[in-house]
Amino acid sequence: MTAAPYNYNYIFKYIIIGDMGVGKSCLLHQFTEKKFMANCPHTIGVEFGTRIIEVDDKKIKLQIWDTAGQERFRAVTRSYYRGAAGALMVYDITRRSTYNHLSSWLTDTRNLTNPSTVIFLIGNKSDLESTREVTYEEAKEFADENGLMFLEASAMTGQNVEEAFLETARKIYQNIQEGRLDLNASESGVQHRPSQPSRTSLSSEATNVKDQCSC
Amino acid sequence: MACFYRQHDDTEVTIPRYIESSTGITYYDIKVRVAQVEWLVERRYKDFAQLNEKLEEPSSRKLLPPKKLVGNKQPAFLETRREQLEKYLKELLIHFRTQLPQVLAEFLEFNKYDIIYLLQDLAKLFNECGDALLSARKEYNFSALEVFAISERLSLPCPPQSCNIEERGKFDFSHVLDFCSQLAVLVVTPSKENASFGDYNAVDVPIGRSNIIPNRLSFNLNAFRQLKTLKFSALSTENIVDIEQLKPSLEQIRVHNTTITHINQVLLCDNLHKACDVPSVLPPGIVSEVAATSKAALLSTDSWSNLAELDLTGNLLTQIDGSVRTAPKLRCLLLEQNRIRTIQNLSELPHLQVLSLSVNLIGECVDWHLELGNLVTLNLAQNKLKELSGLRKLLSLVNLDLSCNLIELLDEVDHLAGLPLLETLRLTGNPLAGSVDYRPRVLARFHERANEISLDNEPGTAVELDTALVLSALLKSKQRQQQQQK
Repeated sequence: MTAAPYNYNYIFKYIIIGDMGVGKSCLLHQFTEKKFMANCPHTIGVEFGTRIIEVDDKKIKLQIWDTAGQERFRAVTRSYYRGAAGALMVYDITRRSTYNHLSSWLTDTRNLTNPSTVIFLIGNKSDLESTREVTYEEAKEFADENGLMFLEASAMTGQNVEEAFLETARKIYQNIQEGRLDLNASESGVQHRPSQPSRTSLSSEATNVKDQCSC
Repeated sequence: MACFYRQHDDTEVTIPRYIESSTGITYYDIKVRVAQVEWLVERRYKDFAQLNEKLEEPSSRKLLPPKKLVGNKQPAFLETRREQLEKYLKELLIHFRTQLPQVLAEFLEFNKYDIIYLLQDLAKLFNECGDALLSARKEYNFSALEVFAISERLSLPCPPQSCNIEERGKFDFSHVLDFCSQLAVLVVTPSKENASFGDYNAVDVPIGRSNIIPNRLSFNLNAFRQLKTLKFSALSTENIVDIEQLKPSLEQIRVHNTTITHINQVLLCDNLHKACDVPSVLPPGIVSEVAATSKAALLSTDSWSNLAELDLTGNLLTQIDGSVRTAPKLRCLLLEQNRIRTIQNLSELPHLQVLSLSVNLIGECVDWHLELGNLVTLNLAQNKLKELSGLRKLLSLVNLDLSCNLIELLDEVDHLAGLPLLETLRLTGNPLAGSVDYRPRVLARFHERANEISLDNEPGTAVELDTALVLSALLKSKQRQQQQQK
């Protein structure tokens, strides 16, 4: 109820994708709540989460869209790629099939996002070393071939979860600094809030948003 | 539509009757027939005399019956004169059968109903002020007849220039083609005289005093090469025979006030088989990858690859059929003032941001988040909605208009309170909006976010937000109590 939630310089849009049951919702929950959610229900359509992080002394609000992995929701979830600044592509290191499907997820991502979208590959469930089916080296090679960032993480223990979300943000921020990402493009997935927002600047922001609408 | 050039052998002019007007002037009703097309023109003797003077060849001059000053109102005289004038016109048509002089064409209104002569008028207009029109706005309103004439003229084996030597340049059809090829926005209406032509009951009304019915003219749009926007009013897009060439470049389509009942009558307007079972053009999913690829390849020629806005306001649509999938880049879909009861086939439009279904017959919305993805603006004003639970997970919504529905219970607002990005909400005109303290009570449902919501076009005032804060605290404690009881 304080002004604190508005105190940020950027909004970055993320999307989390990957097969059913790889732990997308758990990764989001671990990142936003810092807790592991056991018995997580299947996502219906999409879920949404936010968290404010800091990169280079800039406050960045992450708006994260967590999509359903089930094939029957594929059409609806596809629309959320639009305007994503970061895409977290998740597979399960204990199930090879989820790794094999990565190319299909990557095709969707490349087709439906803009070229500047940062794609981060996450091999989840790294705590389950005993049932591992996909080696780190193999996945690393896939990531390098396709120009993806890569980490193995565990939504259960929280290992590397922060890092994955933050590394993505740093890369996006770096793209902005280096001018590779056009802030004015309608679907860059990044919104800049230049000054410390007061009530007035918020309303002017709202009109800007309307102007951007092409219709 | 008439084509004297091709059908002068099957052309006939008669004067079936004369009419005496209330002011005492006698008019002769001239009937022109070119093949199946016919029209009537009203002229008085003075008009005939003027025409006769303007005609340059003296040989024809003697044919006109002489003027009579006294006794020119007697029926017997008028009847003979009618016959003489008819004979005069017949002789003229035979004399000028290869090319009607401009004055005669205008006298018989060929410039209104005949392809060649109508286009000569257009050519003259575009030659004089085409550039001015284009530099002001790249938009032009054509009548159905004019578009039809352009389309037909392109396939006529006839040189673009008129045979009138002295005016050759002015009437050149190339001026029309030049203008059309630069046009970005094409507006087509049944006729031009009535600019406010908006009533679809009138589409079967013939043009002028002819038997030409605008809605029965089929045409292609091949002359319009750089078109971005197509606007049809009171005229069905099914009159377009071939739109293939425009599909890749069109960005906006508007069709208003027609009797179309299906979207496929617009998007698949030149397809004979309007199968609703249009396969997806999106990258295929994991399952059925191979099958989908081959289908997608087949369909790629059929797709509107740049169409961003489709506005079908004011038609008789009853459903959203599968043909919308042929426009995968659609961002804005306006289906206001139709007869739609539910939504379908929208899940495969990944770029859809704005959807307006105001003034339709939507009575319920069940789990719309499974049908609609990343939608930013949703307009459901003037429908019959009572419950809002189906909107609870349209998490990407920023603007939501629910004004003038049948929402009674304040608890329905709770379904909207969980929409994290919602900024503007309209609920005015619902039964619940009539209750005491309606605004603060609605805002209270948004708890911490109350001050971010603009309700019915204005943000909450300080007083309203204070009240909302108290109400929100009360609601929360009530919820806590209920949870404890459980």
